[in-house]
Amino acid sequence: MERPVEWTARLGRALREEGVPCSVLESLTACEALEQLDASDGLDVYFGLEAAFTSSPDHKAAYERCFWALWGGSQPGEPASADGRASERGERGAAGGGAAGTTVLERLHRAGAAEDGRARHSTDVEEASYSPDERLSHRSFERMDERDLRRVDRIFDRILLRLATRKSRRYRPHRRKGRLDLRRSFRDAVVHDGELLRLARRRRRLERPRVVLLCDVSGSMERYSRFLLRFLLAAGRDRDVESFVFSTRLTRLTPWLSASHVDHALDSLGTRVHDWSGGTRIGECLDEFVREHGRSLLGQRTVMVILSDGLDRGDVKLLERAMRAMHRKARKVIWLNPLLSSSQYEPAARGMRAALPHIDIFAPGHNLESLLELERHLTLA
Amino acid sequence: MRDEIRSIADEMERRGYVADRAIATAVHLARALGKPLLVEGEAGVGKTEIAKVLAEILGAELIRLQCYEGLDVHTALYEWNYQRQLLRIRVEESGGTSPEELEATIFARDYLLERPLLRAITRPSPPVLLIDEIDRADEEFEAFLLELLSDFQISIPELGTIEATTRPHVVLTSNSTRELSDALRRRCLYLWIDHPSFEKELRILRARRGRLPTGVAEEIVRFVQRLREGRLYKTPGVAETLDWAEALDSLGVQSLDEDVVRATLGCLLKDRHDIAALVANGLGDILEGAPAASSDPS
Repeated sequence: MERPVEWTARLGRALREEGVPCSVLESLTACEALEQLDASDGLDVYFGLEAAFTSSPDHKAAYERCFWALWGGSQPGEPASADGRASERGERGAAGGGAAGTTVLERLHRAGAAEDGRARHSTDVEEASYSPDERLSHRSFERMDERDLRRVDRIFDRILLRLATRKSRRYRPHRRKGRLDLRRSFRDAVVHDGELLRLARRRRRLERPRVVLLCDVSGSMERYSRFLLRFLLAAGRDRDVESFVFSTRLTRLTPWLSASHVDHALDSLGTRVHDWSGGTRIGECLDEFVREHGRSLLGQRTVMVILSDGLDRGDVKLLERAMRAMHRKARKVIWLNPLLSSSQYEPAARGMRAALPHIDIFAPGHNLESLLELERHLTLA
Repeated sequence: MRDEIRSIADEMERRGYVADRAIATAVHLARALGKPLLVEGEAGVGKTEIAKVLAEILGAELIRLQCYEGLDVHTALYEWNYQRQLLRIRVEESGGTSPEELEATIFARDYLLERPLLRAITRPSPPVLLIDEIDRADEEFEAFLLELLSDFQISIPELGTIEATTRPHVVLTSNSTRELSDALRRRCLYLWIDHPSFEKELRILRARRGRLPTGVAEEIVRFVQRLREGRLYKTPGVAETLDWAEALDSLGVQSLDEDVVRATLGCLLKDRHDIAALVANGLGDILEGAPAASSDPS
């Protein structure tokens, strides 16, 4: 082996090229680790540097490739046959996608079954508060005429939906209401020579979700996307909503949409977004979102809403990777696919199938009723 | 293999923890480099157990901080004993102590309640600090923890900075219910634990449930391994295998058959749908060697 420092640096570089996030810090740790290992024993070094360089099971495959490529140039078929790890890893690799798929399919399935009753109930309640006529609320956006559209807009404008909030587990002090805060009460009393003059109280903090919207505006999706945008903007003028549209490229809408009226904004958009209604490259666009905006927009407060038919002409691997990253970092990932409103629809498109394991809620979003139902999911709970 | 790694693996196995090379190497490095070890993996693969066994091997105290949402500094680090402070104030009222003296008295270490993190850095000898299920705590707490893990000192406004007398061996576990920050991952050595292979699981069973006849142990492991190949809602971990083995042992089972399995399936599968699907598809097939059928709704 060449000098250990250079060798680990080369490994670090190879890993970075494979998309494993490791910096000089990891390389330094790896060098320190080498001193504690038997550097002539491939397996010692393999497992030791794995602990130093990787930080997620997703990195495993890339690490294994890079390590053995650098170690001897040849990749031993069974690097860890001694304790059967190699076969474990193989199985995991093969079964990984399938197993993850089960859990989401299961969640989808059960959520569907369990919520059928509740969903109906909750739409009843919401309908009672604004009561649009039945026909309008079930009509697919695609079949609406001009008159319907104007009425839908009015309905959107009328319902001032409050952003569903979730109470945080953290408390903040409050002057009058809430539970007694003994810690602070006693603390304040210490100042007054031990007299409890005032009881301090605390309440649970409210957490507001940030809704990030990625709308497919290619071909037939454009219409639905317009509605979703309209809906979300009407539903929360002062909510924390970030919106993007994509087809072959990703475009951030938020700067154009704030303050101005929805209709006006949407009309001016037609000229701004060149690819409004072109072909689709979902993978590239989602990947761009994660790379460019993920750091600032993805987090435990974020609810992602993606609207697309999943008919992708781009790179499915990229789509899968972007969805995985999104799912891990956001609180919740909602995918709206208007095709789902057809009872015969099966998510057969490659893109859709790749995305499914990383989706929490899969819904149609094709008419007024389903959008109103979406409102329920825009929470952190 | 380096001697230290082998000896750690042996020591762990002697205490009933079957460690493969990846685990033994990671534990060795964490100790040698003095870095926290972040352990991730499915439920029931023995993440928490690593810290317990490590404490036994080192003969060190195990200090455990169980994380939950809303965990704050006062539960994790320190708290003043307000009741005691008030009492002291009352007593001093008649004595004529000056306010400065009084303050110095009631904000002294005697009146400080140590929570796990403070305790972990102020012991005479380094303990093993287990921060369990860090993914359940929120991001604010994670940020705070990061600071503690890099400086190993704590500042208490009334008292000043408390420097660590010893650096604890830190083990963090996570079930990946939420993505941990890159900064925290960076700070730690990382270990992912998979479900064990057939041989490893058999060794675990032998180490922990030695009384079980070899034939039954092999049947149990083969059955569980096949279950894991199927698509289940809740895949059984090693912990479930051990539970099941104990149940079968206490029933005096000499060989697995359909009736016994059906009667004890609750030890292994903790989901109604999984059990229903498995029983419907026929347990016999799995006992005979077919992988568990899918309980996929479609």
